[in-house]
Formats: sequence, structure tokens, C-alpha cells
Amino acid sequence: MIDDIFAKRPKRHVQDLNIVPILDMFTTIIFFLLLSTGFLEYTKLTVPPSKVSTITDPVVPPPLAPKIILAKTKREELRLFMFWSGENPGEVSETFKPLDERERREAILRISDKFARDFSAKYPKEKSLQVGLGSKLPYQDLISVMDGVRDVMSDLVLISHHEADARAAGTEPDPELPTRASTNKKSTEQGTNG
Amino acid sequence: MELQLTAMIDIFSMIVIFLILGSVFGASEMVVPEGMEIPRSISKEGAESAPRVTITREFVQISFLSGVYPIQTFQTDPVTVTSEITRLENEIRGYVQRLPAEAKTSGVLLNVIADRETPYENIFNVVKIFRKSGFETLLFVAAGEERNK
Repeated sequence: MIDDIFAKRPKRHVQDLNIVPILDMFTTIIFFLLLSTGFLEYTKLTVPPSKVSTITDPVVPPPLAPKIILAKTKREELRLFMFWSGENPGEVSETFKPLDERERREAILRISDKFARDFSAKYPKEKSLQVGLGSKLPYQDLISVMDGVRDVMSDLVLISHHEADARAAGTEPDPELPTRASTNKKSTEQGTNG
Repeated sequence: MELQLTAMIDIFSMIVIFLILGSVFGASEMVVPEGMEIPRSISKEGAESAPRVTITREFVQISFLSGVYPIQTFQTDPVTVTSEITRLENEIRGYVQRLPAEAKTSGVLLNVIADRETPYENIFNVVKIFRKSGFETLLFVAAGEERNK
């Protein structure tokens, strides 16, 4: 009897968790994720549907219909200009010659941002802007212009390269006229808005 | 001596969580052809799942239509519209009409994927056909970039 009481109890055996399959599963998931995922972050710029507006009342001033156009000049410079109609039509433009692709992107972004902000300060209700480029200008330039104006102009509409080329040819300064040759960046502003 | 597995499992778990959170599953169908460099943008908007058109210097590929179209197909002036363009417009229009109503709730979207050096004239000529055929909103796909202050 006493022997029974003090008999050595069998040791409690804690069973080890089998983690090998867990490790296998984790490894498989990691490989699957590594092979299937893309780390490049894509972004997008949205061009909303175009609108058709009809003017019925002749007393009402024409719509502003602001446009921003980037074109190449005969001097192989880039010219960005923004113009609008309405009661007080106006135009701003800036010519520049970037040295490399990065500088080009940043210059387009900076100037278009400035033009859009100045315009928006004058006409805060106008949120639609038409964007056009010269026919041979790269797609990257379009994205840079859109990046620049998107903060203040939410509705962007693409316009034909024919219109951009024609406008650039029509407003391009005469190459025979003296210009500030010492600098590769020049700015002009005209318009009657205040 | 027994191998200490707890730390290893911790690391594995963290890697799995990092990969799950860092993955872009929605844009995984955004196939950029080899050798194509998409433009860079500071836009913070995420990509959306939509039919896509890929534009290179030589050809145009449409995700919902089979075949590859030479870029010259789209270089038509408004007066001389070729029969090929008319046929393509009808095919696109048919696709848009067949889209389920829920796919049109935020407008009919189109992802535009193009090389950053593609001339604007090519981009415009191609997207013009899609706009005419019923696509309402164009999403220009670009690679994200931080804005320099």
C-alpha cells in the first residue's frame, strides 16, 4: 500500500510541436509572394469625359476655355504657354532649354504648376483645362504637364497635336529678332486680366 | 542541442506580413512589355483595374482584342478614315456595350500604357479612337516618383 503511494509517477511528457510543416508552409508562401508580386508602384492620371457646352445667351461672355500647350521652337527650345478666352482673354508663356531629361521634367512641372496656380487664383471656379503638345514631343512631357496642373485643375482634356503645332508656329518669336542670348530661359507674360 | 526555431518563425512571419502588405495585387495585370520604359509621375493616385491599350513606336496592342495593330493604322486625318479604323471602332464599341453595368459605374475606364519616348501624336491618335468608341476616362499609367522640393 505504502509502496503504491510513494511509487514514482511516470514523467509527464510534453509533446513537441511539429513545426517543420509550418516552416515549409511559410517558405512556400514567401516564394509565392516573391515570385508573384510587383514592387513597382504604378500611378495613374485621369482624363475625364469631355463636355460640350452651348452658348445660347449672347450677353454672357464666352467661356474661359483655358489651354496649356507645350511645343518645340525653331531654336530647339521648349515653349510652354497657357492662354484663355472669356471676357478678358490672356496668355502667359515661358521658353526654356533643359540640359537633360530630369531637368526637362522638373522645368515642365514647375512652370505648368506656376501657370495653373496663377490662373486658378484669378479664376478659382474654373477647373477644366485643355492640354496639348507638339506632335513630336515625348509622352513623358504630357505626364509632366499633367502632373504640374493636376493640383488645381481637376478636369483635363487632351487637344490635338495639330492645334498645338499651329499655335506654336503662330506665336513663336521671330528667330531674326534679338533675344537674351546669355540665358537659356526666358519668360513672357501678356494679357489683360487682373 | 536543439535548434532554436522560435526566432526563425518570427522572422518568417515578419517577411510574410511585409510581402503581403507591400504587394500590389490590383495592378498585377498591368503588363509592361520588355524594354518599354513607362513615364515617371508624381501623382499619388493608385492604378485601377481596367482594359488596357499598349502603345509603342511601332505597334498598338489592345488587351481585349487579339492581334497587334501597326501604329500607322491610327495615323489618319479626319477626312480619310480607313475601313480598318472603322472596323476597329466597331469592335471597341461592341466591347464597351458588352461590359456589365457595374463596370461602368465610375465611367468606362481605359489604362493607357506607353513608352515615355512615344511621340504625343501617336498617343493622341490612338486614344482619340478609344474616346470615339465609348471609353470615357483615360488612365495614363506611370511609375511613381517623389516630387523634388
